[in-house]
Amino acid sequence: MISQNALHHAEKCRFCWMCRHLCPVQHQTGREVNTPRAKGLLLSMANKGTQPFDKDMAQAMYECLLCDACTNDCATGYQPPLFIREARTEAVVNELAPEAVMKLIDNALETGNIYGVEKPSYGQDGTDVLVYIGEVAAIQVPQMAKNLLAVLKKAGVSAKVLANEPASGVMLGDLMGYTEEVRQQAKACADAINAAGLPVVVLDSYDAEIMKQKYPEWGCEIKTDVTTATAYVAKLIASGKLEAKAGTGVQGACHDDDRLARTFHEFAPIRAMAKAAGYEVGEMFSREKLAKSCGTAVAYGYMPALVEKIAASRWEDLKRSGCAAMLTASPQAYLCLSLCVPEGKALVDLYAALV
Amino acid sequence: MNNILVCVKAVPATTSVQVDGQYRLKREGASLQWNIADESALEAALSLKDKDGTVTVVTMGPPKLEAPLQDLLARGCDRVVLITDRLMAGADTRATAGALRAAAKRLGPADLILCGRRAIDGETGQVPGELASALGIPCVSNVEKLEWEKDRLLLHRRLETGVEVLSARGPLVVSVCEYAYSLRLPGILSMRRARGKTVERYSAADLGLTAEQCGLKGSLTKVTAMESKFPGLRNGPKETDPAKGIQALRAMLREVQP
Amino acid sequence: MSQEILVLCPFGLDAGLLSKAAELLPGRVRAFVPAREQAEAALYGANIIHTLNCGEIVDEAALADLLAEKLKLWGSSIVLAPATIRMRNLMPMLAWKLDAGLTADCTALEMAGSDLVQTRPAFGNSLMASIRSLSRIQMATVRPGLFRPAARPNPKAEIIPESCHIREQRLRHVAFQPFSQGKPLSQAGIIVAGGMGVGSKEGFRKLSVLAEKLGAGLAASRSAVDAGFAPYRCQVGMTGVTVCPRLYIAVGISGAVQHLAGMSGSEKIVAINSDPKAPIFGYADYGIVGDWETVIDQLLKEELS
Repeated sequence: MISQNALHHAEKCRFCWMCRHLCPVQHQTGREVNTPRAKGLLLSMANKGTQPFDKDMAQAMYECLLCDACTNDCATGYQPPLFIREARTEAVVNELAPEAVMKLIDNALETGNIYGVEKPSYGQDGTDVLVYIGEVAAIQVPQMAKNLLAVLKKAGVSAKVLANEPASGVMLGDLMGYTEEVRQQAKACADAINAAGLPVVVLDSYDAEIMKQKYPEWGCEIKTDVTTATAYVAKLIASGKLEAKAGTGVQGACHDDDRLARTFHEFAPIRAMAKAAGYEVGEMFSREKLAKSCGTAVAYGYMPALVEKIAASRWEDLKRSGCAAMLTASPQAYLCLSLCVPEGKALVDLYAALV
Repeated sequence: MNNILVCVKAVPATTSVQVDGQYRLKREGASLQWNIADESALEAALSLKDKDGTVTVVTMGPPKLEAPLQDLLARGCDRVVLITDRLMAGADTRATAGALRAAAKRLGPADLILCGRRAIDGETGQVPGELASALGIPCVSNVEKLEWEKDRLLLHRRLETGVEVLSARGPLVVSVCEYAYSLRLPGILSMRRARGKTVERYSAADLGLTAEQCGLKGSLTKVTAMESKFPGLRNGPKETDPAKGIQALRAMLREVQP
Repeated sequence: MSQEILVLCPFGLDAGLLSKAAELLPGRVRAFVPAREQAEAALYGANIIHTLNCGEIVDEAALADLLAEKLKLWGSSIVLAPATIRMRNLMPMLAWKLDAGLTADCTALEMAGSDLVQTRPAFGNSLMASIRSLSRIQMATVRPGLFRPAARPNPKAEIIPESCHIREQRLRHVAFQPFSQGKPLSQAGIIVAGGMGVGSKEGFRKLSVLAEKLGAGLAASRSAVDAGFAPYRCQVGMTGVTVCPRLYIAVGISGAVQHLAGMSGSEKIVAINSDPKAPIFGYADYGIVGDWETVIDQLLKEELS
């Protein structure tokens, strides 16, 4: 059952076609069905009964990164990710979701993360802040998690990491929409964080987004301040607690993480981090509010080949900028960009650069 | 087995209101949402049901409430009922309580009836008490937590000066505070279970109510005038020098501090 | 038929409401109060005083049953009660039994012939509705503490003791946990309120320190509560509490209609906001344009010294 609100968003498309020029998925596949407006049209037809909501339609709903670039540029002010999420719920309810997707959902429901493996333990029990690592960094980009902790240590911040850190719910929410199962994960996570009673520094912007945007709406808000790791580290730099490094002479461009950019309007901190790490900061196209997604960990989980293409296209942007290094502080971006680092270019974890 | 009946009201989602010639709130056109305290009551019922029981929801309003009622099925309610009839338009709290009583009687005995403690449009909070009286059972208002304690309910009631804890035996009516519980989302399993379930509709005749007992005619209060009372402009002076501002604020604080 | 007002205060007298009743129908006021408040009821204008002498009444429905029986004997034509949480639960039950129309939480009352014209706000404070009852008995609850008590000593008031036997314990009292913060927000003399401009929980902690120092209540706008800066019990406005303190200090609040609805009855309003165009300034008696933190820090410093 698609909500009235979601249908409203799906049906109000004026066919201005602008979203076609922004969708990172459609750019790679070139298929009309991959545009946000096509998804709205499909859903609307399914609602009217002129097209069955079948496996093909479900597949189309999953060929999307939920990066929100289309919303940012929608002339009518509608939000495709809103109805795409609900369409995913519909697909799961009716057992139409692709098999690869169902595998990830089962993992997330059974083990608390999409990878179905245990998260490492950090043995950190500090008293200043609680660092929320997130499953992508913990399992796929472990060095970035360690680097962040090292940066905090260097700045004299005593950090705690939860033993058996619960899932934030963001992965499951992207996979099957915002259902009660997702809210239950969110509640358990909020309870664990609240029990620690420390301000939270969140490494993965995806986790930060759901914590700040959805938790209060779901009645499980985090009672302490929640800050993105990038904003927190930038503050440490600004206050002099974290010393800037000497210039490297290397020109690097910051990859704006899409959720950081569009949900939090946060662009300055990673640039401040890049400068403090000694880089000359250059810029790519499709930055800041127009940030182009380079893929997500969830999408990589069920359509790796497509995500690699999307990441490669981000490297093309870097080449055009003339910069030598792609700078990122996002575990999900790092994961995707590391799939296809072009020769002569470097992928830089900004936390590593600041240690 | 515990049967819980939840009475909910849909209220305009907007904050700007219009009234018609008879000083009734114009509800056409305005998009509707469940009253916030009623969502709390719904979740309280669903949480009790997680242990044991059934949840039936009843509301009175226009036919377009079918979709939001369907959504409540997806959130785990077992049965949803819409009382809808032109005759019911303009009901005051008494006529509303009368219609809800008739529906409650028709739906069969409930061990617990939950309502929100007040609606954000009317803000009277009178329906729970009137309904309880009509059914001849007690009513506990302003409750922010309910839990089973064997065959009795433990109620945490928020009063002006503190929280009173009561132990109650059903059947009774309980009105729940807004934000006490936050309504769960539709879950995959409950959505699967809700497939094929439909909204039941009752008209005034179905409930054995005559035109005289319904709506504006069945009401015992009459709005005789209504005026828009937007807060008055005071347009006090604006100070841009913080030092001077603090000085003035200090003086005002001294005036009111005991 | 002669008119009579019954003022129901079984859980505690609202002297202002009693005074108001005596002003509306002088000499024809009946009061129902706890025995300990008999003298006060006589002082504020009651002609007949029913004194209730019994233990804690937990079940308001049982008391409503008793009162419905009594009212048949007394024949009061108007029944008023303070709109406290318990009375707002009891009055609807009584109204149903008496087939009476009931108006909730009135802010003004006046007589028009034999009709009681009840005025109450609707939709926050944005509409004021005048309501009349169509029933023989007219009933209303009135916002507590709204009317000023005016002494009308009545030494010859008739005193009638009443007892209340509640047969069955459908409800049992288990415990009472008083709020640590004392007075509810709706009764605070000074309120320090914060909005989105305060920016964080940290900011609200600062406001709460100031509120404590001033003996004030801490309030918040809906957006600040939604953002998680302050708990819901602090929310003032259409979906929160309505307040009317002597001084309302609005910090970093822009002045949305929903918020104004809850605090525009304040005696004095001071707004502190860095945006000189914020609507709140229009509704304030005094505005300070500038950084809220500078102002609050300075105030805190002065309080501490």
